Amino acid sequence: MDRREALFNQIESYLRDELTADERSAFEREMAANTDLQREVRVQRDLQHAIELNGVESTIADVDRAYHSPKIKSLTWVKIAAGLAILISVGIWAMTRASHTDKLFAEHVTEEPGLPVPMSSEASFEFYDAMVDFKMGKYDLAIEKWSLLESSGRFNDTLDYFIGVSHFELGEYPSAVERFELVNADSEKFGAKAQWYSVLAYLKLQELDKIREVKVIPDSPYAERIAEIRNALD
Amino acid sequence: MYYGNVEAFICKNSGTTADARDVFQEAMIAAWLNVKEERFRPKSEESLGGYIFQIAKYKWLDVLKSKGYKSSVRLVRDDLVEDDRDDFQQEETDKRLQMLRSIYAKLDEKCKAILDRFYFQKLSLDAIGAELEHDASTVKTLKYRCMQKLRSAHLSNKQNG
Repeated sequence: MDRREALFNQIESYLRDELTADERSAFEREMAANTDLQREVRVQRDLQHAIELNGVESTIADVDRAYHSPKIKSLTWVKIAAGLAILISVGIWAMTRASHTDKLFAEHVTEEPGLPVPMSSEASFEFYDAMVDFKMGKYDLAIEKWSLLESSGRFNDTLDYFIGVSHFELGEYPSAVERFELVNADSEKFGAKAQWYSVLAYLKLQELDKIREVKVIPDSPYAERIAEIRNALD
Repeated sequence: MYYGNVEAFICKNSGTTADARDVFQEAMIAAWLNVKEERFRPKSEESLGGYIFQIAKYKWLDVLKSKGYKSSVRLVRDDLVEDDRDDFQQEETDKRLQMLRSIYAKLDEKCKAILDRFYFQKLSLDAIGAELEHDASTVKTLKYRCMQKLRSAHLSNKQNG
């Protein structure tokens, strides 16, 4: 067997969920660092979907014909039953997956306590006024006040991060991710935290490929937990 | 149950039961692909049914917007308002479906027979071998060659378009 065929077989085992947890982790680590491999996996996945699509379309057409035909061969019914089982399993798989990620989210979710509010902070009064709202769980109000600061020309990682967490707490995960993406990864205070909250938001959004693709910020205190989540998704 | 909703909607909006059947089938296929490719994650059977209905609704809207219906139809449902995001997703799904169909169409019948059995019907190499009168290792080799043909079709498709 040549190298190309060996790679094909390895990708196929990955896509068909036939690798052990360790093999899968190793494969995904390699994939994270190798864009050629990522592309090849995408191509092979497309090929499998092309074949399955034809099967699904034939099955649906068979069901339709069977429904409107008084005479139906038993063989066709076998084909229909097999096809429907696959269609149903896709739905069940997706539902099971949803509850699994909800559990993972519940296990890992952390609470952002906010920044301490100084007694005298005239220079940043508006910012800390909103921080008080944030700490009291009034996230809508905090977003409104911080957004006003932005409209007056203030943009920085702190604002993006806390507006992101506020959206996160409100369950507005796509908006939260948008904000976290604006936080500079090099930001000592907020880079790793923003990445961590993005991973949690992806869990909620079921965007599991994005979790696998995250390039963990060096020395992130969340690196281990992100790895745990990735392993649990396998 | 879901078909009934789609049929009722289409028939109330200038369609026939034959139209409903076609649109429902297309909607099921689009829903299948979007679940498979994680663009939609159903949380319950109801949400999957609702999603299929939604796709069918937009597909029918497209039909109504087409030439033949342009000037003569007034929609019964008040809530049939265009949503750019849904339109966008539908367009993306339609493009994916078209691409997947076009690469599969380039396979010869022998390859289709092997690949369908392995990837769709999930039969083992032994079972396929027994059915097609080959041994399992021959089926494995043929399967690989067929997948390489499909891969070439996919890559040339990408280059051309």
